[in-house]
Amino acid sequence: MATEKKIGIREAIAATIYFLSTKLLISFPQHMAEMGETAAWIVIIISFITATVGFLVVMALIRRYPTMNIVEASEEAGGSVLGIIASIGYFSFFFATTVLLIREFSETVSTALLPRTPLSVIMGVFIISTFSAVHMGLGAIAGTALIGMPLITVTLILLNFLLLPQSNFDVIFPLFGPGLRTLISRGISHSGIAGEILFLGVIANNLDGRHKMQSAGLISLAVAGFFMVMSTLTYCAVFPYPLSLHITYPGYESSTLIYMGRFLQRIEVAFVFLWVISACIHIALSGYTAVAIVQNIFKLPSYRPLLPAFAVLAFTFALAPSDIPQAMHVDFMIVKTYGGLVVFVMPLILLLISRLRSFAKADRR
Amino acid sequence: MITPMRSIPYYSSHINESDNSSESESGVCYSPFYSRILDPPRGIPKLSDIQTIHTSGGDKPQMRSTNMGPRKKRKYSPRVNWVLPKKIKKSFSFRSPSKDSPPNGEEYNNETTTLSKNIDENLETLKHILHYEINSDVIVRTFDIPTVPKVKAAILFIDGLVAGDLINLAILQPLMLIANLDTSETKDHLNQVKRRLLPGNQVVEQDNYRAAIEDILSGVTCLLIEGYDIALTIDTRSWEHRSIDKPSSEMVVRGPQEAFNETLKSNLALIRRRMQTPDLIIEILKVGTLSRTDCALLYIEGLTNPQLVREAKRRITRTESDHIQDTGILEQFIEDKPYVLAPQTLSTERPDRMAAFLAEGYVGIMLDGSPFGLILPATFWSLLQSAEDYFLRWPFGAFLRIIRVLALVLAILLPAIYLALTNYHPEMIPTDLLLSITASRERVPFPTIVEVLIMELSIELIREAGIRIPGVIGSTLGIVGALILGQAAVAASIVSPILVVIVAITALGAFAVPNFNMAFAIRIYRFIYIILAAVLGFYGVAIGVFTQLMVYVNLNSFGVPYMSPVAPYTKSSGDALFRYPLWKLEIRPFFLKPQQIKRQPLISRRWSKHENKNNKNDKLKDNDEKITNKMKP
Amino acid sequence: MYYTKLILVVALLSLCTVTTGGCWGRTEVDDLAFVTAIGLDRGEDNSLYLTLQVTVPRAVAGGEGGGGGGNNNKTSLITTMRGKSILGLIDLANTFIDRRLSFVHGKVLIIGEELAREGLTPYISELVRFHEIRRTMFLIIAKGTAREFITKNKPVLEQNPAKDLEMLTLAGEKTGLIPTSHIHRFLVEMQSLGEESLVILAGVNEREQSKQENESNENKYEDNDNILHSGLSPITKSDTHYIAGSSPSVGGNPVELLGAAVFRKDKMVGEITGEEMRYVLYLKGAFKQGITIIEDPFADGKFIAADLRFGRPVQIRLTRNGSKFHIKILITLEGGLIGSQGEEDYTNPGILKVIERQLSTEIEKGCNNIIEKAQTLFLADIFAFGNKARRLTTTWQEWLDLNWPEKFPYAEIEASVKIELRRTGLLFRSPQTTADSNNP
Repeated sequence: MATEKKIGIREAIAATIYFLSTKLLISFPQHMAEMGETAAWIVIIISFITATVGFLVVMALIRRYPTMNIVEASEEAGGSVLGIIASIGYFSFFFATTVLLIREFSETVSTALLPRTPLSVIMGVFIISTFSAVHMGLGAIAGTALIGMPLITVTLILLNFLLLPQSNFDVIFPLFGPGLRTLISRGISHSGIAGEILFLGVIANNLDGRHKMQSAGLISLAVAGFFMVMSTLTYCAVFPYPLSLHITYPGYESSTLIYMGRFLQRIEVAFVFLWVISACIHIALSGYTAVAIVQNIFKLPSYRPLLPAFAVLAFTFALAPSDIPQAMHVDFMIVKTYGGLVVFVMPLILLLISRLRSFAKADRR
Repeated sequence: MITPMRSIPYYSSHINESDNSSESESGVCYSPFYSRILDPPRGIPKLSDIQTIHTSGGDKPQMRSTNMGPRKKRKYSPRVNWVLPKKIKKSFSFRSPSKDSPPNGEEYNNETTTLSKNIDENLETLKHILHYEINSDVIVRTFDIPTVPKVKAAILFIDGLVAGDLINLAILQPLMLIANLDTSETKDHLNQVKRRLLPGNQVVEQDNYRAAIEDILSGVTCLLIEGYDIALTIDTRSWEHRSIDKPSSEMVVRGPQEAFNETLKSNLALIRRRMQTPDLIIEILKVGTLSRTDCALLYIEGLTNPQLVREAKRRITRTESDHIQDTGILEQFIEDKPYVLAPQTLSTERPDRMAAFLAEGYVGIMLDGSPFGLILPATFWSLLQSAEDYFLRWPFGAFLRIIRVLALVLAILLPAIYLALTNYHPEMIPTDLLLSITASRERVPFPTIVEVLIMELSIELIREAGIRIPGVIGSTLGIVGALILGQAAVAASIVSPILVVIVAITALGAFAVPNFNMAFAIRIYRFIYIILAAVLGFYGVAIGVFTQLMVYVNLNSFGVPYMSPVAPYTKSSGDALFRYPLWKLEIRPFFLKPQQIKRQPLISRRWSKHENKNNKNDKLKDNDEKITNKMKP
Repeated sequence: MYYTKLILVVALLSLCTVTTGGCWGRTEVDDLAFVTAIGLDRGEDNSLYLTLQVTVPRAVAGGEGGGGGGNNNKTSLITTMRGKSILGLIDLANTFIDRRLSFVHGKVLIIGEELAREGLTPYISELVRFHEIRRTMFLIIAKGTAREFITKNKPVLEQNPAKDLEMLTLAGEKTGLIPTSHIHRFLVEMQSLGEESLVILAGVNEREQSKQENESNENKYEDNDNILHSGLSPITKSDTHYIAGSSPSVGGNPVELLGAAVFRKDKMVGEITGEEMRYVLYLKGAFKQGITIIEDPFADGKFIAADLRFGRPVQIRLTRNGSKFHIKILITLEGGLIGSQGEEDYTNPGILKVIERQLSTEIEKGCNNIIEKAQTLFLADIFAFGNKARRLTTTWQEWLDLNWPEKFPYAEIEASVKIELRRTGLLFRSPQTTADSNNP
């Protein structure tokens, strides 16, 4: 089934980092502020630690089946019914991620760059370019992610640096916001914010050097976690707690605040320009992951014939939420909250089942 | 006579049948004259001959060869035009050349007709093939070799391709005058002549017409002797050609100042001089069914990846076209994706550059008559490099590279960014600048997009006209034209002054890109981005950048990813966007999979203090070995 | 073939879109009118006066009439409309301004004092939701009305009135006499429990006004003398202890930005002078640099000027004792003398020490005065001590329960200042006129 060209470990890391951290550019920090109040960044740390544990579980499952990716492994471990339920769960997660990111980022573009262009045009252009990227294959997307790595790194670090004059780190206190216990429970339940790490499991067979997968995942989680914590921290320092709930597009709004003298100001368009590229990479990756899961479920020789149908489907679903608050509600209250259950808890169950089975087999012998 | 009308059904059906036999098809009839060899000199062509001819691919030159002879001339048969597309389609879909089949060159040699022992017959055939009666520059000189008994002999050559003095002194004189001094016992005249009477340094025996004709056409003199079915070909090649000149499109300040010219021989000599290793292989292939151009394939045995060489050879030999004149044409036949704007081979007119690339494990192609060599495969980064990068000390070279990347980005994106800024995002422009742009635009009646297009088109016009204007005034007139035009356009309120600045910077940026093809691609990309910016502002430009990146990453040139070694990442010396000090370039680019990955030891400045310390030296050796082992492809 | 046709079709289609669709918000810059200053005033019957300053690009960019010192009026268009909401009036403005109004280059939001005392929340909220309004616009409170400030603003050095306003607001970084007040900062402070806003105070210098009127009527020279002798405002002891509109100066642009308006939540409750503003900046640790003068301890009526900046970040120690808060602030400044009217010999190390002591007591006094003023008069924590108090709590609920605005007036606050003068300018010894100090 591996018709794809294999990708190197660096490409995989770059792609995963993109996958994990592009959320920063939409309303993610605002939602984190809602969860963690002044301690939004602590929620992210906890979520990422939880996700790391979850990723290790996924790795344990995959390692039992050294020639399979997560979809095949799930089917092997849980039998066809449970396996397919799990796979449909994975698919829904990635499909929802794709669709919601398309919607939310189109809205961001619509507000920040093209206030008078119809949303469907913006979205259509997004879908056409990203799905033609998916058509070119994983190698092309991951390669672009590797080339674009400096891009997101520099923009995020630059943004945080340029916002220093506007930020006041006194306001991240009280340190524990809603209280430590609430923070931990919310952090754990929101492990879905790093659920995209499952991407590595899906592309396991396309990875050149599968044995390095675990370290690739851990590196990606660490780097992306660092980006997210850093950016959310800055966000909380620039928009102190009650204000941080008000902002619709935190990334954009923060970049409008850059004011370094009479010349270096009003540069948010440059940031959004670079973020569009990042968002395209993210959408292409999640679109690819979603269709690759379908391809694996139905054991198709190629996913490419699915793409046109898939693009239309994505377009339709992306237009389904009637307004931006609703889209965000779906994204954060449903996908990111219950996503963790699907991408981490499901593999855990499958792992246990597969362990039990092998024990049973051993007993019988 | 076969009339064109009658032949249509016959040939087309025949071609359909013959598609499967791809082995024989490419072999039989590659060249015009060869078909005539099979024909008797006079008379109606046999049906079987024509069949053979058409099996071979049925394109124009072969038709012509059958048709034109000393006999009746036949017009082009129209069937060619219809059979051709079908044929090509078929050959696309069914032909999958197996890797171990020998290249075409050898195939057709097997089928050639050998000479006869009768000199008259030989002469007659050769004359016929060369159209002696009508071709004015074919010279046949018959004479006797004054041995006892006399032996009839003749030489054939093409006037203008040979050195007349040389023929007089080194062929005719010894054969006609000195031969009689030697009354030898041996009856073997041929050997006698070859061993004792021909002072020429390259004398080859040819036993078939094909080889003889090929030699004659390349400027060699062919000597026929009565009673032998062997033709002696004596190298007398000499023709008028341009001397070695300075490079005209890849100038450097510091570094060699010689460029290729149109003569393959001297070009190859230029490369050979820079690379005096027996492992430098120069293979000669023929391309073009009509032009039969010599094509030299250069690589280094034991270093260059053999798969790459095989692939290059396969593409060159499997290219069927009549007239391949220049590497510019060959390039279009062998590149991977003709619909992608990016150049996929690297052309250079500098022997030093060619040699440097060969040493890295690339494959070179030179074509007779073309002053540009091709280097395969090309990567995006190599198109942004110039020979000078290496001749200068590394900080300067690195600086130049950064400037060039900046130039590339400016040349592609600047007008689009200006358009997006003024039309969609005026907030990005500093207030004072914005006000002056606004003030200067107030009197301009066009929207910015029209303004930009006017200026861009006129600068393209000036460029193109500047090349066409004859002589030295060309460049001067171009500059003056640009200045005056810009000034007048501003004065007439057709464009705003800032746009003139933008367009000028853009043009400069395109000129700063060292590769001519790349500069062309950039000029076209620029228009695409202008349109994107006009429709969707910065969003459109960003989507364009994303798509272009994606296409580039997906592109392969001869099996090597275009963006290597950056994406996908492969081990290399990092000599892509940036140039590191030369002593740090320890390995050859991994993406070429060369047979020897190490190009210099870990410490190449061996004289430095490390040398004195024994243990360290050992360590170095270990390290070197480690590199070698690790890098084994 | 197929591809070529496809490419052709796409190219044609895109060309069509480009040329036909002036679509989707593509606007030429010369179709836009750039608003650089927005003024808000309270009108009668709860209505609103909106004053817009629109830059005239032709006049600003220079073009034809190079030296247009007198033509300042023409560099901008100033219009005032009356209505209920700010954004609602934009369309109205387009009935008599031919270009579409654009706020993306807005520099300042000027609010009349009356409106500021009523509360700013509705107007600021309305504006920051609109995507063209930038949160980095400066907020300015005008004594009198915003319209008066905008119309009287006649920059002399700048052609561009927007640049003039931006330069003036940024000058605060160099002098420390005005706060830095972006709309965003105001919005943050307005909603924060831990700090209160200070906003730039602007005013029109009336003396200057009368001077200009006179200039047009009568003989300038005589009048100028009159102004110098009688017309300027009375001076205070420190040369910066003024609020906007009352500085003793003549000539140039009649508007000035000096001092700050003190806010409690979104309502203006008072004013502080430039000098007091500087003390606030010392206490906040936000002071960049500025020239401070004190009376020469060795010679009455002579003054010494020192250029000071922070030697080390301000240390604020906040402790809680039951419901009582103690705040200890240590300000460490360093700098050098840049001018002295006296005749001291600074090679004598003791003298610098004396001056340092004098300076620190002076600044300490100033700081404690403004603290007292904030605690008793304004009841507003303009020093952001509350943000330090956040560290005493661990959860948001605790912080809310702390109720800092209530506690602030009763906090015990103590500021101490340490000054180190490192250099004495270009002279070691002062020029002597009285005695031959060289020959004892």
